[in-house]
Amino acid sequence: MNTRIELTNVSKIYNGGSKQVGLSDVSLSIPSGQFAAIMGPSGSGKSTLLNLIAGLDRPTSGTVTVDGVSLGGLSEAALARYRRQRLGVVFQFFHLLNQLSVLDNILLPAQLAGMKTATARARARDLLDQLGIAEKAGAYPARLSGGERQRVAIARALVNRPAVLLADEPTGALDSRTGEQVLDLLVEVNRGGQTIVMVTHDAKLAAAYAARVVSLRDGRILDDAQMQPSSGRSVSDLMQLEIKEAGK
Amino acid sequence: MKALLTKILGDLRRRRVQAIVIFIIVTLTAGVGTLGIEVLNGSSAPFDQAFNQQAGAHLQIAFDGRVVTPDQLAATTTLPDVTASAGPWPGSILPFANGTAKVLLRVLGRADPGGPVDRLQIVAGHWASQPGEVVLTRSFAEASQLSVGSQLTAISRLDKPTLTVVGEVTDIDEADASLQSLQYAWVAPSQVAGLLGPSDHVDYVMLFRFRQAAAAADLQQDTQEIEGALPPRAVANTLTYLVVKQIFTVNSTIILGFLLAFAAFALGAVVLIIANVVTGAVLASYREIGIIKALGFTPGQVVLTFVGQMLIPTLAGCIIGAPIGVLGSIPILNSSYQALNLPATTLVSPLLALSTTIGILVVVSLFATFPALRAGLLKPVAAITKGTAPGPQRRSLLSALLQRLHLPRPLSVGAGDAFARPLRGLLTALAVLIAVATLTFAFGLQSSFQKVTAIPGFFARPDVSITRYGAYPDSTLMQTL
Repeated sequence: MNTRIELTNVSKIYNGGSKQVGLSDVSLSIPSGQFAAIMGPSGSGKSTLLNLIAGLDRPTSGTVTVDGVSLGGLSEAALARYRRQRLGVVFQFFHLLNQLSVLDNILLPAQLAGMKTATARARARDLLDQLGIAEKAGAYPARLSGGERQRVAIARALVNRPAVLLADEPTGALDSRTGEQVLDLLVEVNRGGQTIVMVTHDAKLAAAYAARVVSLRDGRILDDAQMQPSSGRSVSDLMQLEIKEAGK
Repeated sequence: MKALLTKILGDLRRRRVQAIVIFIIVTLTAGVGTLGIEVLNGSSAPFDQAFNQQAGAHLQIAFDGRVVTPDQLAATTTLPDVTASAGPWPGSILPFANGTAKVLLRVLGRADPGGPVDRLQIVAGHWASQPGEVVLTRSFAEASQLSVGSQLTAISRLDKPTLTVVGEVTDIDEADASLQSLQYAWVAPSQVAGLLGPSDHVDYVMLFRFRQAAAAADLQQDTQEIEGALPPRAVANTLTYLVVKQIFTVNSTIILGFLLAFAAFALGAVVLIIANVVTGAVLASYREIGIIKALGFTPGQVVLTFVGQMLIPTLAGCIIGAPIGVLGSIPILNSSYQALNLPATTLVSPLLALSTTIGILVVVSLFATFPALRAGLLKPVAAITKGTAPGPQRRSLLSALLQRLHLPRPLSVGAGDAFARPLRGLLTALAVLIAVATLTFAFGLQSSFQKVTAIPGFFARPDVSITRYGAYPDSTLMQTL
């Protein structure tokens, strides 16, 4: 498989009151079409990793390469174009635009990418159908439940058929049943060939849905596990790891 | 582009109160600004146009008939700088009675209204060709409630000859009767002698056009040349077209001063409100700025979302305000035409309205762009983080100071919060300052005018003025006194 995302010796240090390490010398390669979960406790660097892949932040050192393009050399405008053409991002707290209807929220990235209005509308309607919220097209986010909002966020992330879908704790603000529904959706999307990088702190979910689980702690990769049956790793192994790390 | 529009329209729906305020104040600014510029452009143009059409005189001179003869005056027409002339026409300043009202008119004996200089335009009736007929300026006729067929009584003589108004004209060489009290009245040349009283004498009026007449200095030199060609003290009175033009534009100039002052105040308020609204919108939208950047908005597009939110109500305000300004300028310019006895043929310039609109849009864009740049420069992650979980609020220095003064807590907290963001606080204070200054200007100016004009003797007019005309013998005068 081709390498879709490559991080080489990436470090991120935040210059706040005291210098805080976000990531420390991380190297990671994610092939095209893989469903990878990034796992770890709060402050382990999961979201930092995702932000660097999304080009929302820049590494202090090292390189982030997506589809052979090094993000470090891109201007802010070029990074914005990169995001609109290649990425879909799903956030933990949905981050929908409250003043736009559900349909307009989903159409916005398509319009940015220059998709024809009729095509974009058809695609948005199709996604709303698939996600079971077709009747909410004209509603505003404030009127939706958490699960519905996250579905809208997923539809918005998928409308441009991005090569990479980044999901930052997509189930973090949802109840377990709705969370499972959302993850089922992501698996279905992944079956279509899209690369998914999902950040989660839930080992059970990571093992159940992702093909690969990368565990982070204090900005370093602690474990990188393939979840295929042949790998010999199981959910309980991961949970053991999680419990062990939590006890340190 | 479509994404930008979707975002801008969505934001406008949310900030509709601010949008309505901007729309209203821009409508006023565009209206007053367009009105001012149209008046500025149109106030002198009709004079120049009509002056050329009617071959107006660069210089009008009244000569003392006791010092010069018509033959001597005729020689001035061949002076090197003179390109055209009319006259000499015999005449005099004579008193007339219109009912109980008494007026002075400069009566001229003129055979026809045409000629190389001062082609009078007859707007009612016909030219005075026989004794007993008189032609008046339209503005004088209107002001005196006279029309063709009305009668004026010459009170310069005891026999009080009566003249019938047979025509009304517009004259480029004199201002409106309300601004220039001594108006021309034309009679047949043979009539003049029959109107003079025992103490009156004949004057001669000549009109000149010169090669060089653009400046007052040119006209002064031309006047000196004519004076030099005649016996001393031959020139009794002169009037240049520059003075007439100044009188013509005096109303427009006064109105223009007010309009431009109000337009400047309004534009100042617009830019302060725009800067304040955008600064506030950026501060309140960190989370959204981060989200749209994550979706793929470039920094430039982020700036445009804020600028666009200001430009849409601004454009709407200009679309409504500029035509109102154009329409409002028509009666003002028409009154300027009437002041010069010209037919109202006001032509407003849509290009000026368009220029005003473009000017306002450019100014608004500039003042919206500066605060919006902050949004464009924000890092996406920092924007989302700050917007979702704002950090500790800065403590206002004013708040700390007020607390130290032991002022009531609501006052120290409220006043302190108002200046927690010093730039926004300053912008708000400036907007209030402009509003107060505008109101003070509007009401203060009017009351100042009223107070000034109420000062006794301001216009240096006596309470009672008695003039004895030739038509009244000594016995009548003594009886009146």
